[in-house]
Amino acid sequence: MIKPYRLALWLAAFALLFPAAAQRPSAALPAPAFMLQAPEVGPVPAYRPPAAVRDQLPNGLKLVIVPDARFPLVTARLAVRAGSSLLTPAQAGLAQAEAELLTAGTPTLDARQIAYAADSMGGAIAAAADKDFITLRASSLAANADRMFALLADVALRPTFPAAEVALRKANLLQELRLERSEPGFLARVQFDGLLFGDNPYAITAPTEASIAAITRAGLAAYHARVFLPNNDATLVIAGDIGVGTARDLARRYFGDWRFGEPPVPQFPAPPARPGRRIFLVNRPGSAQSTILLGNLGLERNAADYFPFLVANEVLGGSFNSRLVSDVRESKGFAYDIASFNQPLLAGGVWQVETQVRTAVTAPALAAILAQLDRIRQSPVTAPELEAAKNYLAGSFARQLETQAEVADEFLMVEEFGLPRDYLARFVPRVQAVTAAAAQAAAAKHIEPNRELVVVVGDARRIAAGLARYSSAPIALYDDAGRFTGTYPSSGVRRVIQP
Amino acid sequence: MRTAALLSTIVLALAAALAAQMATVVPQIPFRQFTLPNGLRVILSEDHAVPVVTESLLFNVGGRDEHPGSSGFAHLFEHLMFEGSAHAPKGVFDQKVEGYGGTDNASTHTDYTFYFETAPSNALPILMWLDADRMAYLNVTPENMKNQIAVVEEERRLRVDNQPYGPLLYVALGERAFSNWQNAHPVIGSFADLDRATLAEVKAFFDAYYAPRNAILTIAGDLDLDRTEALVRKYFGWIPNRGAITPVSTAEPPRTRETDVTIRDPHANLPALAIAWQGPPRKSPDFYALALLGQDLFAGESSRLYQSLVKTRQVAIEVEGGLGFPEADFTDYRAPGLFGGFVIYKPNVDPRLVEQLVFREIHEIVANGMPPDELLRVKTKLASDWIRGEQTTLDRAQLLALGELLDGSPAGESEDLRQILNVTSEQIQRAAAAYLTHPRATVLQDEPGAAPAPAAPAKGGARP
Repeated sequence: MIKPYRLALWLAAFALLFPAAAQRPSAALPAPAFMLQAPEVGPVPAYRPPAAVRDQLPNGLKLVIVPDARFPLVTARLAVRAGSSLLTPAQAGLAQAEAELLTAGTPTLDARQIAYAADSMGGAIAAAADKDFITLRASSLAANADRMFALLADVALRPTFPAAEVALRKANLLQELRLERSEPGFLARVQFDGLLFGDNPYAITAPTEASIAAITRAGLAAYHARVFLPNNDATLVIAGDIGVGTARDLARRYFGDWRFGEPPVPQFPAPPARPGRRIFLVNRPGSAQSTILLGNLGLERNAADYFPFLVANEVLGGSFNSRLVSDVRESKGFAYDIASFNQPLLAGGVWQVETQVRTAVTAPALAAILAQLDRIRQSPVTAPELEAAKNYLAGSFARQLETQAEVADEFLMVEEFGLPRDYLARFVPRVQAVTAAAAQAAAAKHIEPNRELVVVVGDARRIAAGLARYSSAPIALYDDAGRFTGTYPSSGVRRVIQP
Repeated sequence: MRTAALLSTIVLALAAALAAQMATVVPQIPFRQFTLPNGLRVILSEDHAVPVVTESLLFNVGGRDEHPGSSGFAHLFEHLMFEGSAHAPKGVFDQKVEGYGGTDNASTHTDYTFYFETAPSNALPILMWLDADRMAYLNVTPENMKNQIAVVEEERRLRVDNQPYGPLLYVALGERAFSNWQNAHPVIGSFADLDRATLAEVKAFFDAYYAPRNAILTIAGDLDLDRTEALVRKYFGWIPNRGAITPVSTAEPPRTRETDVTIRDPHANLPALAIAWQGPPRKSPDFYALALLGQDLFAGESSRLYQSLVKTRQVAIEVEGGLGFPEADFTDYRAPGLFGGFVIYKPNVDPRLVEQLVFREIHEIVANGMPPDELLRVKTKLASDWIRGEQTTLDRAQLLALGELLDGSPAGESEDLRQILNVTSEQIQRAAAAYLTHPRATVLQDEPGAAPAPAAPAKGGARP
């Protein structure tokens, strides 16, 4: 369920705008000597990820058990290879609906009973689809692990997709789509992925009215039969306050008789060639800000230069200290926030820069971003930048393994992407081994300033003219339903609707 | 799962057993507490599971402490505190924290402003040095002030004014549901007040509210208690107090008739309803009862209003709310606060029907209370979510600090949880009957579309 209006940490303070000389306060408060300089600190403490036991059931289901007794909780993840990569554009939304409806009914429980059962065991159960996987996430108080696994198996293996629940989900998907179309970030994402991937199934990010209408109970059941196979790259992660033997017994008891089959093989046609930098503009009349989303194809997790690129991206736009933040936010004051990141996929990836800027500075902000892309490719990062970026990546890694859910997600990711079993243990050393030259080489190879795909969501009347010079072809204009409406500059009042 | 009947039998049996153990299932976060001679309250919590530490500084000042004409000052400071100090000039704070592998952030609330850094535990002395320096020597300069006012205004555009339902939830609801300006004005701040702020006013605000006696320092995670206490005394003990706080009154006159207002929302595609009632005093039986009722009505797919509005009547897309909503959570505000709800509904639905359905569930609770299995289920969910919410060093630092701020003890939040787990059905009935009534309600309708030329018309509805 999307929560677009939810402002988590909505008053979050990220500081700094124009640089100003530091001034000492006039008050003559004498400083103790130890305040004059930052203290020396010891070496970074080593992080050892929890030990995991791996196993596989005869039906092919991969099993990862991660004992973690810090909290009286048990957390499970069950993922199968599915998601939008197995869909056609006409089926957009099917994987999402499938995931959401897994918990809508089983032969013995209706949707409300499933929700009550999860609450009653001090837990939760929900599924979500992304581009490569459908993942069921469940947790409970440790004392209720058995009931949690029973429920997990029931919804994963025996969903009934009740007709009334399917009809309601379809009606609400339509309304949620309307809701999402009021979000500039959503409008940008849909256009960006569609244009970047073309006929590749990764192009699919959101349903349309037509694809929602095409969802049927039979189609959901067929999709379930097709992808919910223990040998379809399926992984069960069990983390928490539970013994290895108990966890293995539960997995065997509830998933041992899951029948294997012939898993589908997703096809990934080559994404379209991008001969030059192109701007695509989604018109949002009256928008106080412009959302800029630009980027190109990114790296897979097991790419040879994944870690050098991770470090280069960190220096460019991965943290508050990054060059994009220092320049676009602090020095120029164009944006409240800006970030660059690589999103790895099973067959490829997306590298992108995202920001929201005041409407009046849309074109200068784009120019500033492009200049930083050139710079990271053309000159080596400095030694302090390199060290800070590596420390930040290493520190972030430990910080994102504090909760049991995070631990389970990381171990699941390692299995899903077929990474080495010591991936988590070796993450920090591999980051620390990156050199400035390797980072620059990776940036030069994977960032393409002159061929970037640029999607802007904003008030076209106010920003199109300023942006035009950064596009190698006339800017393509779209409305908020993703329909092509013309170009800028145009040869007249041409209005073309794409089929 | 063989049969639903068997399941519910198991559920009931185990839930009953669980309820008895609940207090032991949710352990108290361990802590050491002391106060420095300058009045700074300090809480340390040791846990070596992950080699990470969180240092947080909570200042006892929020939007509610601002004076008329200075709306947004608390939030402005949340930004200024990252602008540099005498020995850690502009940019150094983030450079140091991130350069040692950490992260930092802050947030402004109705009753407090919260700063934190989470970093590998070797960086703790650096975090103390940075926080002590900005507490003692913050650079409150005309340049920083001007820049940060611009950033705060940009943030308001980004997070409130340019978002669907932002003005509804974060400006209009508080303004209508409260009568006293202290409670009613938005935490995010007013453009007019910020634009005319003077340096002297901003400095006076810093001197009054950012002094040691008005702060709570909490450090949680991979630390040694004795060594950390010694370091805290060294880095924070010498900072003198300054300024003086002018207390404000947050008293609210009683509400006697329902307020109904419609506002236009140019960014929304679907209509929405926001409803709020002024809630009970903290630590009263009604407070604990409404905290639990908020979960029962709004939390997740098993909640009463999700089941009623989204599943059974199928009029709504999303339902959210509870005690403290939308500005706060029941764990983090001083009374008076709101008991609020928010429903995004389908375009062809009569807005009055949505309001009626919300009241129908409340009246049902008032008339019949909460059945034992439902009460146990909601408590089990709350207790287990509470455990999930204590997993990170940041979670633990914030809970301990909020307990100290709101309840006078770092154990205060856990004590609140124990009280909530003891709430009875009768207690919920009484609280709902006393607080969640028509005459005490503020109901705002959010209509998609641009506002008409003059200000949005207010439908002045009154019900007995």
